[in-house]
Amino acid sequence: MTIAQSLGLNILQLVFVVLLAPVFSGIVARWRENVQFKRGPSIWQPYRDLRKLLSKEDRYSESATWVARFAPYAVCLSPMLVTLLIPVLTSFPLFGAFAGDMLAAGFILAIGSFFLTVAAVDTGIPYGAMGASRTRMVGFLAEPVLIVILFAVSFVANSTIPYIVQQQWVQPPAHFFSPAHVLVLVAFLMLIIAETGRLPVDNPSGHFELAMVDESKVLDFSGPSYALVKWGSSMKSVVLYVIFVNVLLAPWGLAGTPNALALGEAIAVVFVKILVLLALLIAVEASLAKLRLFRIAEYLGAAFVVAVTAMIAAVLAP
Amino acid sequence: MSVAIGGSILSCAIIALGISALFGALHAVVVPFSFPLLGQPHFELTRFTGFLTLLLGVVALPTSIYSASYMRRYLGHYAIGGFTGGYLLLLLSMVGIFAAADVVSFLVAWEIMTVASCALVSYEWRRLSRVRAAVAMLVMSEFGTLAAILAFLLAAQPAHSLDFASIERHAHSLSPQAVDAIVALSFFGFGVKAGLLPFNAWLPRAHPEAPANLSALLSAVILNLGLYGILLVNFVLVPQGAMLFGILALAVGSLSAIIGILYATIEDDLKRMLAYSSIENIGIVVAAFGAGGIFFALRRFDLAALGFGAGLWHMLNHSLYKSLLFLGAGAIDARAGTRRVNQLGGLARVMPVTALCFLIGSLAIAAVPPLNGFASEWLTLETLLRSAELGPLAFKIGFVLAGALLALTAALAVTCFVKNYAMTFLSSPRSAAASGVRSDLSAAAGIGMAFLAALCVLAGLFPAHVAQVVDVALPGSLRGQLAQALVPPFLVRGGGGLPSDFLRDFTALGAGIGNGVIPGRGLVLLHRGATANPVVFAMSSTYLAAFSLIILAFMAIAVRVLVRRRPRSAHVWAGGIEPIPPEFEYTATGFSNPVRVIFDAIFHPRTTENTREAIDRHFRVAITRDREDVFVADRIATNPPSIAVRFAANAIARLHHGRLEGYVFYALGALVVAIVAIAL
Repeated sequence: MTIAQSLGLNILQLVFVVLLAPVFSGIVARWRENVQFKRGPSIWQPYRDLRKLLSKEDRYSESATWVARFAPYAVCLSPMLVTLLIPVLTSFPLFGAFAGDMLAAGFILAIGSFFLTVAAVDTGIPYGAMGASRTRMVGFLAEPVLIVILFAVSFVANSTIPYIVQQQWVQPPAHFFSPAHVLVLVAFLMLIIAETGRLPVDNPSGHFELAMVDESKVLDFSGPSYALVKWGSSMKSVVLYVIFVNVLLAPWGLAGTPNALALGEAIAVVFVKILVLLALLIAVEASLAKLRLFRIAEYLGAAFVVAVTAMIAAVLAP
Repeated sequence: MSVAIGGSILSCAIIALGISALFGALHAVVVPFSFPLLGQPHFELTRFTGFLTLLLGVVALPTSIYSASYMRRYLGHYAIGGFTGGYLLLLLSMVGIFAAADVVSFLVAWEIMTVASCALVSYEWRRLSRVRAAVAMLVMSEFGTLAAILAFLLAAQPAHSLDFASIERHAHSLSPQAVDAIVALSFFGFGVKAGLLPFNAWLPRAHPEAPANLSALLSAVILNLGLYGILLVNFVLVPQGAMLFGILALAVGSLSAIIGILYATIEDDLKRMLAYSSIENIGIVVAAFGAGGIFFALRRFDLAALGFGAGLWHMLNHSLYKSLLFLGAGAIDARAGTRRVNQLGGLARVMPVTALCFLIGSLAIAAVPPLNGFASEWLTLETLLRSAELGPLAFKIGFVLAGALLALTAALAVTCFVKNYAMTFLSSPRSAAASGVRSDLSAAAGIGMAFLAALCVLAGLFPAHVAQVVDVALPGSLRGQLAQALVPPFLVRGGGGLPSDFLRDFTALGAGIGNGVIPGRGLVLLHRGATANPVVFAMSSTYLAAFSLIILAFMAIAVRVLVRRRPRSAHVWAGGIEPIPPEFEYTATGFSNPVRVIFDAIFHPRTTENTREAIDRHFRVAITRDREDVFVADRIATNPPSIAVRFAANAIARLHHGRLEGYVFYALGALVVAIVAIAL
């Protein structure tokens, strides 16, 4: 494989995530209404929202500094960087894949959240700071879970490079039902729920500012800035889904050679895998109520315990 | 001003000395002078101490430049000349500590440093709190020094010499019990100076009380002296204690890190927050040393190099960003007259230079890529992940727990610095003090801070080059191992001994970009494994930064093309009230409240509730609740002995009752006891 090919394929991965991120948000929104026997919005609605927002005027509060203007770009930047490092479509590493492993990806996602939380205070409304404070609470409680998951993975695969974990982790395939694997999946799923702001941690369709976690940060963003923040956070969700389905859950169905047919097949397979994950998330969401703010600590504490158990199972496994 | 000129010249000299020692161009110096009874002092800078000396100079130079603006606030109140003298003496004594090659010169330089730093902390001697802080620092440091002296004496016993070189040569004949005692004494003794739990209660008191330029040195350099002492005894002189040292360091380090950042997050005083955060960072450094020590004891020298390398690297990064942040906090203090975050706000518009520098420092300390804190914190966690290669189960679980604590610490550090940057510089001013600020400090302060900020960015952008410098500085047998284990020579002509298929694969991925143009071994940090896992971990913030620039430029162009209407600023809507009064804003205390609530068991605050009742005595109308947080090190390690000493002093004071016959009786009693003792 030449350097141009591997660069081109990585750009294709990036395009896949950037262009398809809104449709996954649309599908979630639609399905969530469907399980309540409502019709729900079209799955293309997020694209229409983005077009509308991009044509609107961008308004900043008078107290805002350049941080508020830069933050939306940072929010989009983090998941795009992570996309370059993980196996989205191919099972072989692509251009620049050595620029970060799974641990570095955790730090890279902090770029966006750092700037967004700072910008939320920058807008000058109290809701922004409140949301920022709560997001950080979920953020710092989630971090130990992530590292323990990485320890568990690292004890089995002896590497934190996603391309290598992907090959070593469920090897042989019978290990799919090994306790370490199942528990890591549960812990990571709980982490995804917390990081993407879904029930029971946060209610993305709530309309009451005092009860919001994620959304109240962005109340004062408008127009193109808001479009970028929306787009960026749906990209972040997709990146987490991809890590879950391609690296941890079912590392099968990716393109093994750089030809068009294999890639087309991989795009379809990954799309379907993410749809299955979304169905699972909707099922969780439909069956749980939102937790009180400080019960989130207990929820993530539970995730931590699951992760530690997974790690011990990984150590004790023959 | 004298501090700035004298300090800058001296720092430049120190930098030159450090560089020449680091690259091996320096030889031992024997001073033609001898201590009575204790022999001739001699000084020598090795590559390792040269690295620390260089770091000292690099921090001292911008701090000295900054002083030209900062010290103006003391003109006419306190003698500037006294500060200058103490400051220069402090810098010199630190060079002396690094250069000392025998126990006596080391301790003499150490004591000069301790006394000079305490004198400078109490520089504003008219304020009682300053003097109290200095005394607390002095007393605790001296206890630490005593323990360290004991460790040195034990170590010197088989050598019959106080020379470091001969102690090192004879260390193998120490008994295992002596080694354990040396490890414990030196770890906790020097740990006092390094700010490790449990004996660090002096640190959050003394660091904020000093003038800001001195606080920068205290946190960025003097804490490193404690770490140097720990490494000197446990790694250079007596390396066979590595296992006990490693376990102690890993446990104490990760606990110090989490405790430090918890208190930093809820702290309202900007400088005290930074002091607590120093405890955190030193904790991370020591945890990395601990991992290195355990790997060393298990004879995994490549992994030991990763651990000690990560520690030294984090120490370097901490020195850079912590001095930057202290200088920034000093500028705010000098302008606004308060350090309480709850009363600040909106300073970014009036102090743009300080704001930008403080933001860079905050991003660096929060380990946001691609700044420098990220590289070392990432490497520390990766080193802990290498416990996968250890046999014993207990080590694995211990490393996981330490890793979880450090991950929590890293995430809390993000919270802490989001809070402090945002609440200090953004939104609108929360008090008259903050709204009265008109401008930055003068140019010298800006230059000092910009210098450090630029170093933070550069050290972040070229981690592989910094790793090679750290590699040169590693003491003993580990030198050369870090570069070998971490920086594959992708940019060396012919691949520098890498397997050819590995090199080919990575060239196809772009790792060879810049071959022949960019100096150094490579731009990628990568640890190689066996055949099943050819790469164990990898990272390159150089590549990440390049990708970021391309993506950002692309997004900026796209937005420029797609968006027609230009942005506009408008009032914030607050239910029709304009302008928004300061009371409407979210406070810094509110921001960190989740941390307070969740970790209440650690803070264990004393709260007092005052209820003011209404006239009809039926409805409570107002409750004021006061909360006092006592630092956990105070509660556990400092307060009990201090209470015991006071109790004993009170008991002994009863002997001084003032009646003559009583004193005669004491004299008689003492005589009888003496005679009996002699007779026996």
